[in-house]
Amino acid sequence: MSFLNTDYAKCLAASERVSWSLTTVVPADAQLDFSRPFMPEPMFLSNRLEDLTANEKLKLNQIFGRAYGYLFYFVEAYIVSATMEHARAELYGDEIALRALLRFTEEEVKHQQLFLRFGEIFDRDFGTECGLTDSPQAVASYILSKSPMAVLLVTLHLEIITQAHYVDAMKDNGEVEPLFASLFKHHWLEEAQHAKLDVLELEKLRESATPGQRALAVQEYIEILQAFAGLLGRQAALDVESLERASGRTFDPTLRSQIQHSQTRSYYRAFLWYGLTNSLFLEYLADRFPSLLAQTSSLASQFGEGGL
Amino acid sequence: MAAHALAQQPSPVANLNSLTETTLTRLKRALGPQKGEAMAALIFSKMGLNQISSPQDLCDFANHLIQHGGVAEAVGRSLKVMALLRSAIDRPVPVR
Repeated sequence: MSFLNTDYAKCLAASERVSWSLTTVVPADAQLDFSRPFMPEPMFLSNRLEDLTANEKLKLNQIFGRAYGYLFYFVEAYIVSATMEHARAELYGDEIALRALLRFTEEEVKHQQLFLRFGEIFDRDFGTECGLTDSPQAVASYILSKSPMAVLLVTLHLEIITQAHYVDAMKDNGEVEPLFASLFKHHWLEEAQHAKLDVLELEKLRESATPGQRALAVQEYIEILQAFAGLLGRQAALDVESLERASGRTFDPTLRSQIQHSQTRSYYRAFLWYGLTNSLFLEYLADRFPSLLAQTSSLASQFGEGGL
Repeated sequence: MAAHALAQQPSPVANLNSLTETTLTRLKRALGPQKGEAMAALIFSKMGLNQISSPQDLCDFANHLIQHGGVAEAVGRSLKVMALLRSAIDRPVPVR
């Protein structure tokens, strides 16, 4: 499969075929099973911490799951704004492209509502409060201050990781909490089209861009990833506090540091490393942004397991 | 008069680049073939251009269109977003 063999009509048809409603995926009486982990084992690196009990690891896994869903809500705030602009640019133009982009936007708003509902159910039944990074608007403003090509590269990166996480770690995983897995299955079904639309929009911008504008997009993509890493590190620190509240235990500074470190690694791996090592993303960069491809290996090392 | 002004310049229709073609197609679709062409001619005349060669030209063209209000303004706002996505800079309509 290549992202380069697609068009707006195919994306639109696929979007209509896989479409789902919020109330079907998260019914009003939906409940989460807190006896199960939320995050799949390969994505939850804190499972290796020897000084946490099995119950504390389960709680931390669920806290990670809560933040994981929230972070997608968080980033979709800027994606909605960006895709609205791309749709608006097609007004009176290609109607198939306009429909595909409007569906893209509508689906992203639906995903935001999906993750908000998940958060409400989680917060209702988990028992203690989970700390979450604030100011999605400020993050959206930062990202949208960058060039549209850089924004699209980051969006493509994020759409790809949602697919990679589901296909590599959640699909057919009998361990993971079923409603949580279902949310991400439905998320993945629509994100598959979004990644292709990102590529189609990138192609439009790339065509008329100067070499300097392409170089700027690459530089700004990396800047956004670095800023995102800072946000993920702050979320990891909040997870430690959330675990203390959930377990009723105050950790000594050494263990606090270990938990924060392993949570930071888990977030980096999930949100940054997964994209920077994804074969479809690398294939696309090789074709269209070779100067970025040349930097993905060192960035992946920075954000991979051994990178902290 | 607008169509006449266009006829006196090198024709933008003769060898359309893609930005010019996109702009003319949208104007004709939104305003009708004759009014769309006349509007394009009027704005090209004001800009002293016969085609849209860059995202910056497109942005300037869009800002002229926006001043006309109505459907022309709607087309102009869409074209302006298209130009800004391609890194054009929004600036006051240049007077030549």
